Amino acid sequence: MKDSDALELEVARIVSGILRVDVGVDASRLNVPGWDSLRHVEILFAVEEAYGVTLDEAEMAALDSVKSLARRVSMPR
Amino acid sequence: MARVLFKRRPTRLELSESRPVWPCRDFSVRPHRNHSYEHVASAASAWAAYGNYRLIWSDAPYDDTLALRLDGSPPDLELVWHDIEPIRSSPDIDVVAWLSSRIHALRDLSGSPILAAIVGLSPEEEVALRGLIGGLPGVRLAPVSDLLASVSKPFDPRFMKIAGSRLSEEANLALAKHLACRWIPALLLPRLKAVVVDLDHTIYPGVLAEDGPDVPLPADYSALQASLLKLKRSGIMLALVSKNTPEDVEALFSRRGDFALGRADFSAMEIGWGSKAESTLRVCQKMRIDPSSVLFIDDNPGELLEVAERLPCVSVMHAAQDAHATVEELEFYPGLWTWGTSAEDSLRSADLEAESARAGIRMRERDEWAYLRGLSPEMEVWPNSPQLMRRLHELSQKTNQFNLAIGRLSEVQVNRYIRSPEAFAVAIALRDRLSDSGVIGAMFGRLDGDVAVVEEWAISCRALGRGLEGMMAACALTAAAPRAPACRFHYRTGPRNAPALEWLAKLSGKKLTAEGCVMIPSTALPAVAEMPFRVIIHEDERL
Repeated sequence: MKDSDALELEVARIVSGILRVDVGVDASRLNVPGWDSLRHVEILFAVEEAYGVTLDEAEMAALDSVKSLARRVSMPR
Repeated sequence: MARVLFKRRPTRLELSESRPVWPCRDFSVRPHRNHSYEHVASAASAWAAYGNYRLIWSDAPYDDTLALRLDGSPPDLELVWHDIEPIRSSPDIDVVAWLSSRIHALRDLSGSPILAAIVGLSPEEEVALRGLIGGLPGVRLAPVSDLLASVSKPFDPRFMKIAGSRLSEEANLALAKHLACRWIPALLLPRLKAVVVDLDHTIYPGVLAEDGPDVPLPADYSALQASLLKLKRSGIMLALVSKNTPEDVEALFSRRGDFALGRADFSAMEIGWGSKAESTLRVCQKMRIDPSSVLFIDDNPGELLEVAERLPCVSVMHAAQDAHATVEELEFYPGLWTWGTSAEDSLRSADLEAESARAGIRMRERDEWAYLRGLSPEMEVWPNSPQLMRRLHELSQKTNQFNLAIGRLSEVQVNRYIRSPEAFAVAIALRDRLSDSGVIGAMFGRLDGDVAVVEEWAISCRALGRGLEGMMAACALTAAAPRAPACRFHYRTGPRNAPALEWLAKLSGKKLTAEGCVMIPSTALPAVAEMPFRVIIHEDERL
C-alpha cells in the first residue's frame, strides 16, 4: 500500500494535469483559481479512472482538495 | 500523441496532457444546449488538435426550450446539444416534431452549418428526425443513439447535479472523439481525396524483397487492408508508394488471393528506390489531385519525416507495429470520414483509370473534334436542382485547379443560388464511352440585366484535360441564361487555380490581375447546337 505522502503527490499530479498548472499537495478549490466547478468534475472523472473508485454524490462536492481526495482513494472501494 | 488518442480507452488525464505544440486553425462554435457540453468539449480539444484545428466555444445558457439566442457574429458552427429527456416530461410534445421545428427555425435564422447531437432519442426517433431535417442545407444529425448504444454505460446519474449532464465519462469521451475526429471535420473541412500507403511493414508485417510474395498476413494487418478498402469504397482513392521492384510487387498482388487489397484497388503506384516525397508527388499527378488532399502512411519514421519536410501540406501517419492501432487511427483520422457517400465518390477510381485510355486516343487523333467524337461524350445539365445541392456544394468546396473565384460556398449559399429567382446554380454531368464521370461541373451566378454574371465556376480535376471546359460553360449558360448576350466571369487568383485562370485568359484574350471580372460575349463560347456530342439540358426545376 502506498503511503499517504506518495498518494498525495500522485493526486496532485492528476489535479495538475487536468488544470494544466502545477499544484502541490496543499492545493484545494479555495487556493487554486482555475479549480472551478467544471474542472472539479473533470478531476473527479480522472481520480475515479485512476484509482477505480466510485464516489457518491455527497462526496463529489466535499472532496475539494488534494489531501481529501488522496484520503478518499486510500480507503477501501 | 496519436498513440494516446487512438488507444482503446484514453483517460481524461492523458487527453488533458495532450496539448498541441503546433498552430491550429480556429473554428467558433455556438452551442444551443440544455445540458453541459463542457466536459465533452475539453476532451475533444486533444483530438481536434490532432486534426490541426481548435474549437472556440461561445457561452451558452441552459435552455430546454431551444429559444435560439443568436447573439454576436455568426459562428463557424451551430451546435444543437440537447438531452431530450426533460422534454419528454411534457405529455403533449412530440419530441421529433418539436426538434425538427426548432432546427428548421435555426436554419432560417443562421447561415452557419448546423450539427445536431441529441441525447435520449431512440434509434427510430433519430431516423424520423433525420428524415425531417436531412434535406436542409448544411444540417447534419449526429448518430448519437448508435454511439451511446456502443458504450457500456452511457449514463451516470451521479453526475447530473454536479456536471449538468447525465452522460457518463465513457460517453463523454466517445462523443468527444466522434465530434472532433468525424462529425465536425466532415462538416467544416474539405475531405481528403487519397491515402498513399507503403507496402513493407505497413499493409503486411514483412519485407517483400526478403520474404517474397509469401509475406505474413496476420489478422490485424488483414483488418487494416479491409479498412483501406472500406475507405476506397467511400470515395477515397488509394495509391502505393514503395521501395521495391515492380516485378516483386506485381507478383505479390497476383499471388495473394488472401489480401483484401488487390492491384486494381490502387489508382496510382510508384514502385522504385527514389525519394518517397517525389514518388508521392508523382502519384498525386497521376490521380490529378493536390498533395494537400493526401494522407501518407508509412512504418518508417525517416520516410515520414522526408515527406513531411519536403511536402508540408501532406498529412502523414505512422503505421504502428500493432496494426489495430493503425486501423483505429485511420477510422478516426479527421478528414476521412464522411456524412454520406455520393454517386461521384464511387465513380472516381474508374474514371481515373479511363483517363489513360483517353490520353491514348488524344495522341492518335490530331483533330480535336475527331478526338471528341472518338470518345462519344454526353453532357447532361441541370439548372437549379435542389437534389444536387450537396454535390454542387462539394464541387465548390473541393475543386482546386479549376475553380475560378474560389468562393468555397456553404450549403446554405448554394441553396440560395438554387432557389433565388435572380440567381442560378447549374450542375453538369459528363460521361463518355470510357467512363461515367458523374456530376463534375458547378456554375453559380446571377442575372444583372441581360448579362449572366458567373460568380463561381468549378470543374472537378477528373474532367479536366479533355478540352471540354468551354463547352461545359456554354451548356451551363445556355441552361441558366439562354438569352444573355454576354456573360461576366468573376475570378480570383488562389494557390492552385492556374488552369482555371489560364482558360479564362485564353477565352477572353485578356491579361488577368489578382482578382476581378471579365466580360465575354456569348458568341465567344462554342454553340451548343454545333457540339460534336449529345447534350441533354433538363428543365429548370424552379419553372
